[in-house]
Amino acid sequence: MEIKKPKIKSIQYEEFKDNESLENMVKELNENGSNVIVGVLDDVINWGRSNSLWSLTFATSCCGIEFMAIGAARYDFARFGFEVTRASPRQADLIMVAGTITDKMAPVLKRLYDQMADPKYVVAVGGCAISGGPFKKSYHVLNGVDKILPVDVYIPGCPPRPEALLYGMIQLQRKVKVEKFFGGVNKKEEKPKNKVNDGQD
Amino acid sequence: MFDFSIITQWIHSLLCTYMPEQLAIFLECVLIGVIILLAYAIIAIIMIYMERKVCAAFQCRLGPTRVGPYGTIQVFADVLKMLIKEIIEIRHADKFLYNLAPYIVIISSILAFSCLPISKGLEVLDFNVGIFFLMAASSIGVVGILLAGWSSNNKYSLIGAMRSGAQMISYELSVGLSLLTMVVLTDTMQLSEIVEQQADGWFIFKGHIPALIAFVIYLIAGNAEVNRGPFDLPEAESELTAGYHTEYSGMHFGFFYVAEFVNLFIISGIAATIFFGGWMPLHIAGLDGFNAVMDYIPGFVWFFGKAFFVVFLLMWIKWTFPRLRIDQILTLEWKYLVPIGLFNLLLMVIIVVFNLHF
Amino acid sequence: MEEQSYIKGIIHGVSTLLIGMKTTIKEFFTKKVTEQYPENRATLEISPRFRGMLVMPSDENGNNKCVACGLCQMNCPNDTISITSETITDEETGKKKKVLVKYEYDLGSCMFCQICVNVCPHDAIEFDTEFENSVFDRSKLLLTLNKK
Repeated sequence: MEIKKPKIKSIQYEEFKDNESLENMVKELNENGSNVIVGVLDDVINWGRSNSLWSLTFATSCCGIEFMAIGAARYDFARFGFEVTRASPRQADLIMVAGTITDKMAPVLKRLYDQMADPKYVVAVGGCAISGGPFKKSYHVLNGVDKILPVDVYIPGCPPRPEALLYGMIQLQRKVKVEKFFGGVNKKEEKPKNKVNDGQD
Repeated sequence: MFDFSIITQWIHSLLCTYMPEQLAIFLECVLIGVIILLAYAIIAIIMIYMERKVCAAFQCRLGPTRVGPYGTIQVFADVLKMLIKEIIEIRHADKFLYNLAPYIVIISSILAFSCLPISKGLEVLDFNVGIFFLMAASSIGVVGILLAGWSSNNKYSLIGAMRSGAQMISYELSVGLSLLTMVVLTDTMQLSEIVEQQADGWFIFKGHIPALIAFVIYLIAGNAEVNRGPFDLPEAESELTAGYHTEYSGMHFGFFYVAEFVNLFIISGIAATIFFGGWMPLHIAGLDGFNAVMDYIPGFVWFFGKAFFVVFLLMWIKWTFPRLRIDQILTLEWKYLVPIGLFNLLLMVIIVVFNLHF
Repeated sequence: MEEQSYIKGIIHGVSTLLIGMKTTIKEFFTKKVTEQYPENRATLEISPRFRGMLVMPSDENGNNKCVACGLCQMNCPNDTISITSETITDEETGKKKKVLVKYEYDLGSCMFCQICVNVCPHDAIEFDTEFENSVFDRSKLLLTLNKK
């Protein structure tokens, strides 16, 4: 069976990094096969979902400034359809964790993530959200947001260029395009890898 | 001007030949309901796209460009996504009222939308107290918003809803006063009659000074009435997350979102009808050739042109000015707009009594 | 007097509002400055000093300049670099030499401070301007820089 290749305007499929994870995901989802009508409906719905990813206005430190930069005039994420950033987690599709997450903020972040409506995605922006970044050895910083949330896309950089952020969002669009809407579990939430240290040992 | 009542009469007589009259009327009502909902959805889509592009143009950037040519099918993607989002149930929220609130807002919006005269003979609700009914229908929306804030079990939503309630019932007074000023000029409240009377000149030219003042007051008050522009404190993002609709997700939120944009179109439509002549083309007394050329352009083109012009004006205002605080909003209304509106009404009465208008 | 400041207040308010609106409508007609990112990839100019990703340049035969001294690993504030080396005996002279086996670099915790590049005595590593590095899987960010 042919592997589903998500098409993005202006960038070829082969030029993308990390196509293997996508292909593994497609193989897992389509193990039981899928019928044609459901497949076409899936394509239409995924097209709609991938072109309208509304992110939560969440930014804690310097990567937040890059988030604001892609919203401003020079690198405009409204061209992709992402500019409606909702302030309420119930109305947002994805949370872009931009900035350092300290131990005090971690329960708040987890609560925000739990309040979001399915289908939801998490994008870890910058070194601090991926692994603690420059503050990895600090006494109160959570070393990577994937300890408490299931992350979909990692965007490295300190801070990442605005174009790198846009590239990360395009990667998320590709991931949304290969998901299945009818039947099939796209993402199982794993148990958190480490307990969050919120100072109450 | 092409008269659409020819077509409606023809459909009615066609249906009556095949079935008893009651059934024909029932079928017509169903058909009109479907058409209104379709038109509502289409206008919402056009308005959302226009908002995004106009906002981007004012901020020196491009709006949606990648989804479809020039980004035209962007809003369809948004609608698709909104339809499949999970609707979260809130514990400890008043379930009946929580689920009822979006529908009240949408129903009041649709009721007001069906009063607009789009072309000659193409009105849905047209009775002799048209303006009165319009004001009443748009007041039901306040109840929806208050219910949404109250039943969400969230104190910040409640603050947003109370602010919105105070703001909307204050500004309804100003809207009513400015519309009343024009009713004094026209002597009738029926919307199709108002448009007919503008055949020899639009009201904004006929009733010169008071009509202009009434137009400005109506724009400001209408803006505040639909929680748009510098008056969008109830959904102020930086203060209250999303205000009265914080706890709504999925299609319920979609209703609030769509109703906001179509309410803006309705306010503009009423401004276009009452001040700029609705579907009546621009006639200058004395230039018959010019008038004949203007008559060739169909009525609904005139109506939508004028309505979208007023929409552009309101969007221009929104993307220029920062948000007002709640005390500034109420000061503006009660200390400035109401006295000026009352004085304007007096001025219009004097002009009509002494026949000083065109 | 009260009435005077009331009316003057209204006139002043309205005139400032109109000035604001004039400014925005002029903005409406200016040329838009957006750089359309995915479409302009072919002509994108990134400054050569931009730090996108650490690379170890190697010549045609695959030889790089790294002698596995470990200075970059010692000086990295974040423990981003980890070097595996082995001591082999050089065939010609019989002396023992340290040779690089694996040079691991964690793109997810690098903070792009350039201390490793500045400290390297043989200019074996340098920063490339490649910024398109987003991946779906954390393990894909642990790169091995010497291709063997």
